[in-house]
Order: sequence, then C-alpha cells, then structure tokens
Amino acid sequence: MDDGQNVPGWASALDGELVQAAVRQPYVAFTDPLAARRNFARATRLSRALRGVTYDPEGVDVDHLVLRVPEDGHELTVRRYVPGAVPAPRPAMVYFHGGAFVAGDLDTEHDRCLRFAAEAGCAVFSVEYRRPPDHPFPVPVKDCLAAVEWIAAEAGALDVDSRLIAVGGSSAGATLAAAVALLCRDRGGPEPVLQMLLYPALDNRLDSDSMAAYPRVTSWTIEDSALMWRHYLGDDPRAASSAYAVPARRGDFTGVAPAYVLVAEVDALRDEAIDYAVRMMGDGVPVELHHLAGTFHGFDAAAPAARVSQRSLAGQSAALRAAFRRAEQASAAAGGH
Amino acid sequence: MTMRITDGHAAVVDRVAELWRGMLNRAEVPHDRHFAELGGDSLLLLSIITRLEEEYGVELDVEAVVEDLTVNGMAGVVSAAKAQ
Repeated sequence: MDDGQNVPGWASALDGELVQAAVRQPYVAFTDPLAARRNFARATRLSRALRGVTYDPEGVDVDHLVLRVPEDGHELTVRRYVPGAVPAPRPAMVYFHGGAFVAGDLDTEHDRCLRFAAEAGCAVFSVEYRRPPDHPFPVPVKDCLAAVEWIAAEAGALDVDSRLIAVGGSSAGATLAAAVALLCRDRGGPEPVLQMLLYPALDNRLDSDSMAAYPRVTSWTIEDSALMWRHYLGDDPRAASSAYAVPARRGDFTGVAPAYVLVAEVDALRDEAIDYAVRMMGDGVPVELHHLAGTFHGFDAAAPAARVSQRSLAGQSAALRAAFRRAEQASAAAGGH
Repeated sequence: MTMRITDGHAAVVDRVAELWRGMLNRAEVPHDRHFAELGGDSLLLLSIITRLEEEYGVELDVEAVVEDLTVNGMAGVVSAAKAQ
C-alpha cells in the first residue's frame, strides 16, 4: 500500500485532483476471484460510507425486478431507476457494472445509474449478471442480452419506449455492452440507440502500446488483466476466438449501434479502446470518442468530485440524452409514432 | 465481556492505533476521533481492515466498523470478532 508520500512515476501524468484516489486504489488480488469479489464490494461500501452520499437526485425511484433468463430459468435481478418527473413511456439505459468480470455488483455503479436517470431523463436498468469463475463466458453476456431483450419485449409494462433503448457499462461491464451491441446487430434486434463503453476491456492479447506503457498503474497489473480474461473465458478454448467474448475479435462493425467511447490516458486499456472506436468508425458506425488526458481507469467512480470527473460524468449523461433525442427524431422522420 | 477478552482488548486497541498512525502518517491518533477527521479515506480504511483480518484471523463486519469509525470503535469490532 502506498502511503501517499512516494508517488509513483505514472502518477505524475495524472490530473492533480486524481492523484490521491489513484495511488490509494485498493489492491484486490485477482488470483483469487472470490476474495477479489469480496474486497471489491467492501471497497465500494466503505467508500460510500465515508464519502457520504455524493449524488442524491430528487425524484428517482429505485426498485428491483426479477426476470427469468429463458435459456436456463435463472432468476436475474435488475435494479431499476425511474425519474418520476419524466412522463412514460421513457427511454431506457440498460447498464452493466464493472469489476473485472469476477467482482462488482449493483452497488458498484449506483451513483452513476442515479445520475443517468436524473440527467438523461431515462429509466436505468442495472443488471446483476452472473459472474465467473462460477459462471464464465458465455453466461454473463447471455444474462445481459436477456435483460435487454426482456426490457424490449416488456417495454409497455415497464413504461419504456421500445425504440429508445441504450446499453452501456464500465470496464468489464463495457466489454459486455460491446458484446451485447454485436449480438443485437447479428441477431437482428433489439437495436440499441447507443452503446456507451466507459474505459472498456476489449482485447485479451494485452500487447498494445498502452499495455506496455502502463503495465502497473493504480492497483492494477497486466497480470491481473491476464487473470481477468482467464477467469472470464473459462476452460473452453473456443471462447477466446469469439467476438461475443472478446469484442476486438470482430472484423466488421457495419450496422452496430452508435457508440460513445470513453478512454482514460493512464490506463493499460487505452489503446485497445481507441483501436476499437477507430475500427467502428471505419465501418461507418457513428462514434463519439473521448480520450481524457490525466485520468486513470475508473477515475470518475473513484474520485467523482474531481473537476475532470464532474466534466466527464455530465458529458456521459448529455451524450445519452442526445442519443435518445436523435433516435426519437429519426423515428419520427421515418413515420414512427 | 469476560476477563479474557478485556485482557486481549488493550493489545488490540494498541495495534489498531499503531496501524492508524502508520497509514495516516501521524505521530499521534486520538482514540475517539473519527477516521475521516484524521484525513483517512476509504482506500486506507480497506487496507487497515484487510490487515487486521489477516493478523487476527477474523472477518470484520464492515457495517459495524463504519458505525463507529474511531480507534476504540474499530478495536471493539476486532475484539468482538475474536470472541466469536
């Protein structure tokens, strides 16, 4: 544990308001996925308890829904955030939390989900997908897809506008969001109006320039990245060649959902996210790519009060709102209702 | 509280205070001051809790720790876990 006195070299590239949060990221030891999961959940709880409530918008109702995954009957919990002031049917954001696949839960990104509901004027559905090592690929991505399909199918009962469904996630949750966007394209629906990929993990090869430049920053190491993918991909050797597991394996992005990609500068995952965004652009996908200098992986969740985090969080909500507006206009122009 | 636990408890208080001084980089840590007032944050707190769990071979109730976030409070949670 760094005591804050010896600031490591990579930290000098960070925004001054982010340095303390970065050097104090707890190390969660991903060699033991279950211990990692526990420590990760604790870090979230402690941080919320100490920080106090950082974001508490008026008028967002939170409850939980349970849906049955058609394939195996699993009861999947979804935390729903509804901005009461927005008339039904509302746009919807289906969100997948981060946590290196094995860790993280619905509390991890509670504040961000509240913010999306309040600021983007949509219902947010945060999905408690099953996690490795007990549930490696494809279970997590199937759970996420099942949630999206269920929300689209039950849109009427859920007060959701079925034309206005976005998907998104952070870190490993963004991996799942990217995979869900690919699945939606390949299966012919639903059609997300946006895939919001916040510092996504997209490639298990770990050979990018940023991976080489930042093999050990905050409390994360390239060894953890290798472990994360190993836990997620499981024992099936074919998993690693599936783009639904490793989205960077996809060769053609034509027709996938418009994307918002957030990239942190001091992050080993930086270049794989930029590469993915550029490849989508090359295939004609509308992409909004944000690279934020001086930030680290998960900066906006770890230090939400920092100015650069506030700026980014507000931008994420604005982009989400804009995606709904764009889709609504396109639908109206096409003679939709 | 039995005598056995009370005996051990003074040592636990000392150890908790020692960890706090090290983590917070302070020469003195009043035993009744809140962790946040002393400049602590959640990440330091997590490492202290993890450290105590390893040293004492216990699992700490995080909610109870947060409830009374002082040296005395944390030592109480550790002693209670030890007594289980």
